[in-house]
Amino acid sequence: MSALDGADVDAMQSLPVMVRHYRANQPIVREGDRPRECCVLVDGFCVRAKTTSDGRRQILSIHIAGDIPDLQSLHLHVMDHDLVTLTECTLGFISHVALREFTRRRPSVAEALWRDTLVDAAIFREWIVNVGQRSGLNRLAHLVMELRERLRVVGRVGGSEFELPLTQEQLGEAMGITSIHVNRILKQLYNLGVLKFQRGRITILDEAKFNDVADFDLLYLHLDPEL
Amino acid sequence: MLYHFHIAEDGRFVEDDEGQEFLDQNQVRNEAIEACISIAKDAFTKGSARRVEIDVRSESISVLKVVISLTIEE
Repeated sequence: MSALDGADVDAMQSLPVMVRHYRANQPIVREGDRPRECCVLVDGFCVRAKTTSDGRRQILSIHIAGDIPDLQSLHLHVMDHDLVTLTECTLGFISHVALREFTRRRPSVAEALWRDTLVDAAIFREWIVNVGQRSGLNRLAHLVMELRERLRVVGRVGGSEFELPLTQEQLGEAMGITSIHVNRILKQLYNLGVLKFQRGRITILDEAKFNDVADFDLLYLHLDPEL
Repeated sequence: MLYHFHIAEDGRFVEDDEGQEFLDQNQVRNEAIEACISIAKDAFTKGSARRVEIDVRSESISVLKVVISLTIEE
């Protein structure tokens, strides 16, 4: 988010937040819903997804602690996709009424939230490139690198390891390939000495090789609002 | 029913240890075809193989095999 001053942060902390816990693989909001609140992901992993009429699911984005994955519902009133938990999640819900009033009172917060939706769009652009143009091997490495860099910001990366609690099927849904192909890519990444994926945890085996395969440029995450 | 999708690219094998549950054989067939196409695309464009096979097994018995091979005539 962009730079907020101390008063903004204090005011934000006084917002009425309803904390709820979700089990894994549970919908938070569904396509067609008219939510009256937005949620902040406090802990866990969730995804935005769309399912075709013949039942094929595309994961559109993966969300981690600190994200506001359904911020768009503040202005786009009917959900055009699903928001679903991947793991157990703790979510903080803020009503649209409170959030709207808050952003009117505090323009710098409104700007920060606007910026957040723009970064969201930048990540979608990168995902289009990833799904459309990169080979399976590069695509998976790129996705892993993106998540590592985002998880690093919220202090969830320890050394060369981090938690990525997706199944091979879910990784496939995020990349537009079958879990069979994901299995082949993961074995290849391990055999090449790039990374290991085991029980929802990634271990980077060789940073230089990982950088090489991921074809990753950090710019699109716009992590530094001052830049 | 649990199905295992074993991959062979030229002579190199990738075993599917976990397997996947499917209710009907049509879904199994579609999954195998789709996987074979996308793996073949990666392998052929990279030049790492000219033949990709997916051998689908259930309880060690071969259910079906999908084979895609590349021929270039210049």
